Amino acid sequence: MRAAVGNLVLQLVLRDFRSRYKQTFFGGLWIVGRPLLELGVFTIVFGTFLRVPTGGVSYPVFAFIGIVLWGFFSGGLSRATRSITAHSDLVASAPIPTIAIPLAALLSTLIDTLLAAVVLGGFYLYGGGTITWSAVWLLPISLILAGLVCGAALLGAALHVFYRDVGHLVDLTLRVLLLLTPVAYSRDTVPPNYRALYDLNPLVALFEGARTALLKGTAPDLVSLLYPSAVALVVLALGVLVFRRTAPLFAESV
Amino acid sequence: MSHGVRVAGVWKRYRLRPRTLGELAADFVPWVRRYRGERLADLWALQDVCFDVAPGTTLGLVGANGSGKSTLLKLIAGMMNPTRGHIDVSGRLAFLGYLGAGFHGDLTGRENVALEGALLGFDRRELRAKLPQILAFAELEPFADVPVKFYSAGMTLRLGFAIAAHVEPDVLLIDEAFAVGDTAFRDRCLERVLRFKRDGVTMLLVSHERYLIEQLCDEAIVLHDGRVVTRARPDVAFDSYHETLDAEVAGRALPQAEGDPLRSPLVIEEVRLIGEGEGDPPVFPVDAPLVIRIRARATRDVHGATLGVQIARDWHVLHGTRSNRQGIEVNARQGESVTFEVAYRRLSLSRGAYVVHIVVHEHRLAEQPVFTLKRAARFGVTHGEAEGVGVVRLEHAWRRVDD
Repeated sequence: MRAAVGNLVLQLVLRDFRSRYKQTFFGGLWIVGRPLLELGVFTIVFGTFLRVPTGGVSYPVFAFIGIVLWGFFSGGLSRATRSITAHSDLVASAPIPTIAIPLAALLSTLIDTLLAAVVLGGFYLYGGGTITWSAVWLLPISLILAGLVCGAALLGAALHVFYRDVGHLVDLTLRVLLLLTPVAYSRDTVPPNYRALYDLNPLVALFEGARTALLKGTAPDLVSLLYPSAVALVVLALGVLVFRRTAPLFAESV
Repeated sequence: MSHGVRVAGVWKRYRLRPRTLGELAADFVPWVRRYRGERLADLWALQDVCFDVAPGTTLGLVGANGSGKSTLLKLIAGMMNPTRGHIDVSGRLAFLGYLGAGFHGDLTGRENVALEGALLGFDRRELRAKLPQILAFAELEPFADVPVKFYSAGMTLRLGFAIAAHVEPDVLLIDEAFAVGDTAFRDRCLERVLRFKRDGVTMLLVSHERYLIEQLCDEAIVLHDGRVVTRARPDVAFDSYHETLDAEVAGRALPQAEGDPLRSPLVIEEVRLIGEGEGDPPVFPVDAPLVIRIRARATRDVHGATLGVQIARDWHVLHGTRSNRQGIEVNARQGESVTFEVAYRRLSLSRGAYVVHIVVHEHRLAEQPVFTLKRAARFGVTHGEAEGVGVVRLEHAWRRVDD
């Protein structure tokens, strides 16, 4: 049965990719079009208009990793939250391991993100960005982020079946978080007396750590990663627990 | 082979309302509860259902719409949890509900097979091995790479069934929507199901069709309002199902007029069944004679009207006859009562419950009846096991001829 869950996730991801860009003129270009547009608008607004401090690198180089990670976080969370309800036909008519559905949504987003990273990475290198060994730190940071997304996604997907409010709540939270997370600007921009409050957002340390590892070529502040790790673990455990408890109710509730 | 199904004291309650945040609050904060209105009643879809299916046997599930059949299948499939009770299923389970449930119109046939296969629990290796067979079985190889939305309804159905036909379960749950389509397609579906049966697969089959249940099942249970009312041989179970249905409709839907009685030249005053039947409604032995006598009153001066009698079962008219076909027409003055009868030499009907409809036509060439009295009378037919199954009773004899 395990192999079957894996295959179901795979087939759902394939279905997502195959169907998403069928009958579109630009096809797969949309996958990279969005992050490119984001990078462009961010560069104009934050780099040119607001001139946020970037620590001496050009704005696209500065914003690269933030946009990639944010794309994964927000895309994964918003898609996975609506995934069970969007597949209500499957959930109500076939006995399937429902966990495959949000996992497939996350996997789709991950693939989108990796493709976007490759394209934006071109701009990063062209703009003078470098890749050193300390970029390896991106792996554990991404893992923590993935755990956080996964837990929040399972929680969102399960609760959305019963309370559609969750969809609106997630959208709103993501909008607010985009501004309260160092995606387009650096944490240094935040006045020191607000930082304790600002750092309550577990994404702050992750995004700052990723940027440090990539741009400064040094290891991130490991102590600062403890807090997001703990939050990720708690959210992941809560997500798995709630999902497993509520999954038997999906077929009669979607 | 030890793959059976056991359903022990299963109850299932449905909430007939979505959960809301207000309700969540009410669950935790007592004073919120006071400000909320009456709660809707829940629905007990299944009540204390107990049965088991022995390994390798087939059990039919019979019951009216809303009696809990689909709920039961979904519970056994593990898609929902029972509110109370236990369900044990051993072995690999497959659920054939709505064929092609996961089909995506934009994807090609081949891509959809992969997806649907995954939904039925195939792993990648199985899928790769079976994909060509499935396309061949559906006879859709030339269209494998065409998006399914360009398929005809029949093609979609064939593809859906071809996938389902390639599952290799120990326990198979089949919902009624399964054998649809034209007769040739139906036959292939049934042939495949018979092969499952030969291979020792334990099966549960939901159907409204007597023939299917009788042909495929070793036993059948009848569900009524979420309870098991009968478990018996399929034909016996079906009779009991019809009795429950009849009992149900007896109160509210006995004789029912169709058409405008004011325009009808005749009103039906009485319909009597005359024969060797006993009971009310009478039950006749097979091949017994039956006379149906109809007394009608003319609403105006009637000239050349005709009476018709139909014998029906399960909403199908099995035999219909009009008096004018044998040269009998109704002529009467206004207010006069006339009596006609039609005599059946032998009731060549199979065991079951039947109803009699009376039809009035304005004249002998009229195709549409001007007035119909549905279920003007009802009767039953009974016979021993040797008479066979089905609706009609054909006189027949078996013998071996090759020696």
